Amino acid sequence: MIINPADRPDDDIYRLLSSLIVPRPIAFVSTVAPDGVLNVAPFSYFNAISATPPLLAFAIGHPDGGVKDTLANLTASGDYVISIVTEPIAAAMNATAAEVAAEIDEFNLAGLTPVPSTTVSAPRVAESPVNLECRLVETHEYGVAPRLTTLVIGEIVIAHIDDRLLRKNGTIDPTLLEAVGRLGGSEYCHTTDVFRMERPRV
Amino acid sequence: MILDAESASLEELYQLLAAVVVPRPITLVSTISRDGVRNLAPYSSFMPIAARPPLLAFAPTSETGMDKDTVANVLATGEFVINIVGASMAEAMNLAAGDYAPEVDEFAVSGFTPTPARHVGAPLVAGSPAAFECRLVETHRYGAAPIVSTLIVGEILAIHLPDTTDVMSSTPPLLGQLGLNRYCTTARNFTRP
Repeated sequence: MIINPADRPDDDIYRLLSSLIVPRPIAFVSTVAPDGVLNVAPFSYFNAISATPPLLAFAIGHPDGGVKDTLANLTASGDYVISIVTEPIAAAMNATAAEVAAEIDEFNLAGLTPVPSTTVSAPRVAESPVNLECRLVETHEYGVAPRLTTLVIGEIVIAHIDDRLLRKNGTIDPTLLEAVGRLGGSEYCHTTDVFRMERPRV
Repeated sequence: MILDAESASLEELYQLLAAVVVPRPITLVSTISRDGVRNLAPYSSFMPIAARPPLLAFAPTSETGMDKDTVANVLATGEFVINIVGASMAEAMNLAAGDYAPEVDEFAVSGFTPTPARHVGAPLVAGSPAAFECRLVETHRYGAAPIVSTLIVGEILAIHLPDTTDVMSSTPPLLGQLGLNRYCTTARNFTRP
């Protein structure tokens, strides 16, 4: 079966991409508005794109032609924090995914605790074992209004890692993180059941 | 632990990102050089960007000061194919991950079968749960020589699915990457946390 994206409604293409490009890491993005209201929201069109400099990219779609609070806030402040969503906070993350008014504090809504960051204005999520303080580097815009998407690229300034994730040699064990992966529809996956493959030597 | 990115080593930064930005989806990217040599390489720095226009991105990193074959081919031809990696393709995918010379055909090394695409010169991986034929939209370079990452953004021209697939209701188990050599599958999943 061959699908020409131009022949299908946007929702079909979105469902195809979200079902076939899996499992996706989830960026739990915390920002602060100019008036001080806190915002935290999940984005799963997300990945690491460079180690030096340490860059993360995530995409914000704004299907209604408006600007999402996350984008408005990080554009104004120039910073944000990306936390990793783990099994214990998956339900709280899901609660923040609701479309709520800009004046609503999603930390409060979801029962999460904001704690001040070291280098940026946006708060960290106390309940996440990984908080990556990011400085906005650049944005790229795609699409035609009102169907716009903004790719946000940020550089990690400071990473906060819970010591319980560390092996004796100081490296991070990804299986102790219990990160949650995003699949299509309303599905998520666990990351605790893993197998190893060493890269072939050439 | 607090890791200050400015004073961290490249190794520490690689390990940090590989271990915490998880689970990452994996793509086998197929390309073809100007001379017609096929290339196939896996990347987990891979993400969808938008449905309209239908955009995907991935970001190869080179530490040698020279573009990887994938990047050189994409820049030369303006096209590539994103092949999705099923859980059953894990071992063959790993064989394609070796750092082979440009003249090596990773299809032959890994045992994957190339099949012709409709719109682009790069081949599809036969048996892949999904393949996206893509046209290069733009690239962005990050870093400083010799360590440079290239963010490649492509627009999907066609999506190939097995005739038996009903992706709207079920997707076969796919492969995800954690850490540098650790993998998971999407077989163990749950709905609405």
